[in-house]
Amino acid sequence: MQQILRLCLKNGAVPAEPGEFTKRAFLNGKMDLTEAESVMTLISAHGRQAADAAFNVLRGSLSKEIKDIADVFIAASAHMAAWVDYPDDEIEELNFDTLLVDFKDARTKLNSLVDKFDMGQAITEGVETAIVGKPNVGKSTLMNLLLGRERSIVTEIAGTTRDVVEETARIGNVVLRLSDTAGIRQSADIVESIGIEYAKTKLSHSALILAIVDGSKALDDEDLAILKECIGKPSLCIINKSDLGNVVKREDVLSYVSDAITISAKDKGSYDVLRVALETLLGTAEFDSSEAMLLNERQLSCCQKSISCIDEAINAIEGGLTMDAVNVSVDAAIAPLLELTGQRVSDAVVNEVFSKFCVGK
Amino acid sequence: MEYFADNYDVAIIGAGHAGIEAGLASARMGVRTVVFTISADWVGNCPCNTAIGGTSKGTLVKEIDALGGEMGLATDHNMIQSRMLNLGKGPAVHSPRAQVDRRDYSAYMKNTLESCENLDLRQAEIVDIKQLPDGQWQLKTKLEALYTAKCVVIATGTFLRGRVYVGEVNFPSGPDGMFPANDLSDALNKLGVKTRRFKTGTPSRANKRSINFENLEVQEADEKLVRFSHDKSFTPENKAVCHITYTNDETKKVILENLDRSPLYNGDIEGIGPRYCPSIESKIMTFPNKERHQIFIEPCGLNTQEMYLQGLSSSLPEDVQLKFLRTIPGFENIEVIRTAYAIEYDCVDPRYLKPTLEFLDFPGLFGCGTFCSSSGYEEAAAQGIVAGINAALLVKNKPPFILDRASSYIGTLIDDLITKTLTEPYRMMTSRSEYRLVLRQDNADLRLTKYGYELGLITKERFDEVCEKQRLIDEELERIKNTTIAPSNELNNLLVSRETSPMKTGTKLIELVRRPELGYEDLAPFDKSRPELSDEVKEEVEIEAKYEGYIKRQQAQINEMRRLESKKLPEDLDYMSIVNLRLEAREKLSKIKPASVGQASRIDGVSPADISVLLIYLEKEKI
Repeated sequence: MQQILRLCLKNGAVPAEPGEFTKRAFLNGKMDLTEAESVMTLISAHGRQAADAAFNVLRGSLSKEIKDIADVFIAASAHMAAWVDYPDDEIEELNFDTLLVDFKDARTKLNSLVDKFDMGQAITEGVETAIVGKPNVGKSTLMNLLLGRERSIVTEIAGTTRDVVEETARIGNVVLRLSDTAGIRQSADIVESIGIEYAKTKLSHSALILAIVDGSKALDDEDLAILKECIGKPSLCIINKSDLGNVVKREDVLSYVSDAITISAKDKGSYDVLRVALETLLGTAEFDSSEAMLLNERQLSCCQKSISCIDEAINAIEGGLTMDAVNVSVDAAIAPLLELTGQRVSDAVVNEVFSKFCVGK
Repeated sequence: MEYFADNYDVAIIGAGHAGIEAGLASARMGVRTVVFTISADWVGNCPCNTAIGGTSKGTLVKEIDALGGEMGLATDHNMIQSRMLNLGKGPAVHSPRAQVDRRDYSAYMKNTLESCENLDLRQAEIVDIKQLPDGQWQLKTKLEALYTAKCVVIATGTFLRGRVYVGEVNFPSGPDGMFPANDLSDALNKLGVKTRRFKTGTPSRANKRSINFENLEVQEADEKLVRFSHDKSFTPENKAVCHITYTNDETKKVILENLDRSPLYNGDIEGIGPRYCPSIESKIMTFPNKERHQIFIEPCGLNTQEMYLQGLSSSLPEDVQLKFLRTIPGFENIEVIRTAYAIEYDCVDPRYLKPTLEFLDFPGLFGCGTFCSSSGYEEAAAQGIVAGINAALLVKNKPPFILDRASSYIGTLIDDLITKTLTEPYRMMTSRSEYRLVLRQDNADLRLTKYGYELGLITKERFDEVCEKQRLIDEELERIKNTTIAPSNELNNLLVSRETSPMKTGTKLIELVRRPELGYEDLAPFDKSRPELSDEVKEEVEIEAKYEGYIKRQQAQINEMRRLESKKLPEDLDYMSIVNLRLEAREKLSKIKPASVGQASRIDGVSPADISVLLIYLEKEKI
């Protein structure tokens, strides 16, 4: 086998680069950009649901959803164009009421995709998580609970702009990314003290905060200071050491965090309580992998651009502006959708190709 | 026996709408020009609709006028009725249109050519074209006269190997019974210029006295006069009206029964016709469920009884034509003066042209008009002026004049022609321009006069007037941005009567103008510091105020587009060697040789993925 390979290489064959087959498929028009991107997501998916989600997009679920929406705008635009360019012909009058309904419907669908993005990211890419708590509340025990069970592969992602070593803990259908630039889990995101500046920086980069307190003792100033940092962010307060006492109640902390659970991290049974709480908090509990979803920031930004244009079109119609302005907004709403599926080129597409497929920089 | 007749800087073949603009532009730029016409009696003919303008075409005419061209003036001087189309649909789509007197228009253009300094008008058919060793072009006429010229502009319209079809009868002919030009195509082919065959058609023209107008709808002219040119020294008048009638089931029946006698449907015609000017038989076949088709009855002039029957283009036999005509209300006793016909002709694929309309492979040879696969008088004239300007610039050794998509409809037209795959004659439409909120018919002068002035086609006086107009607009916009209007009973009464919310506190004047329910004029009684301004300036101020957000956004899109346009592609780039490009893309790019990545992205057959590859390649090779 090796000899055959060597012979091929000797005769001028070039080994495939990472992602090369996918790249060629895209460049040859065999798959659109969302499908190509889903391959990368599929490869790096942690867990079955992430894989399901990516696979679904690979099969074209997102393309179809986007195309259906784009078709509504294209049809409206075509009708408007005909109405304008053939004013003396008997073209059916534009029914602004129908247009409004169609546009609002399309906007709802796009908004739904955007709303589910964070949840989708939690599943496919994982959630940047910070674990905070003063010393001796049981952080290491919690870490063991998270990592001991179904410990994920430590992935090394080189050749992209990140160059970061990640520790991931998959719990249920959520992947927690405990990022660590030094590469050792002990010095990861467990904030040992309330060194405010350091803590705040760490917390500001996190999409999820797990704040641990010793539930068998009353909350002190340190606890409260930590809890205060959680206000306004997705956060779960883990009232630990329930085996030792239940002094701290849920109500005591709920004004600071999104949710709170009372567990004993030593108890393996707490895993499920933790899992359910996380899935509910991140909204992944109702995750349906058969629904179309956006896979990355680029796709999100395309959707958001389109939404802002369709908002404009709707406002123009409702505000009584003339039809030429409405038409321009509708055309502008179509362009980012075509960019999303890669049908229309832009630098964003080029950058995407570069970063995902590592073509010689 | 051949003899040498004369030498010119620029020679134009054809004196239709394209040839006229090309000739006048070239001559007015100080360059010795000759315009050859196969018939001196039909300079500037309108073989189809005797109307100028319409959706997007009206904008083209205003742009031609802003560059110093003639079509706008000719139209204003010879119009018999005018209308502004799409009123109420927004200023981006307002379109001026005018019926002109066919003979007067032609006479006006002929006179203009004859009187133009540096220009000679000659009746001659060009039968041969060669390139001489020194790069000059040599033309031979049917009478064996030889002419040499540094540049040649071909504007032959539908004359090249023209063939007219009426039912089972067909014969070589130009439009309107004129001679066809049978030899030039062969000469061009021998030269290496590939031609292809397109077709178009025209309806019949009937005698007014044989039409019963009694129960027909009238289409009046607009009360407010519509102008195409800058010349305010005279006032055109509305002198005619049009009428409307409709086909019916009987008409359909007659046509369907005789379809096998239509050269379009029995395969006699090989040329491809435009979807936008379909024959009545095409309309009936394509829309079988449509109960009736609209027909416009348009006068061809003030001193003729000829009426143009718009919407009834046909190549059915003469007897069938008469039969279906007489099924139409008002036409029961119709008498036809000129029968409808289809005409096939040779033309070129404009993708072989540069944005200056010079042939990529033949320096000094230019093409414009229907010869370049477009359809319409205004499209022809727009190309004509650009070709004429560039021919003159080439003679003078000056850099070329190129209008990009964002500058004008003319730029959009040319970019589309040289980039897109055309399977039918190209007609300009409003939706072709993605920047139509910025490229409006009302601001053509503000956008383009400066170019006309730089080229020497516009006088300093006229240029100064336009600069002054711009200044007044800018000043007034500033003023209304900074002027506050206090609420008052009268003002609030007005607001409420227009169904918009009354004011509680002082509001900036521009905010009020922006409200869709209000116009700039409405606020005059409440605006004490308002200066005296012309209607034109007021119109611009109102539009710029109301659409400010949109205009800003289109401007941003334009800047983005120009950024891609500025990524130039060298003419000698070897696309075939870029292995990552798909074969189809490599072929298209090699053939069209786009000037920029922007243009490349608009070529059919070049996918976005190909553009990605191209951009990567450019970066890698540091081009």
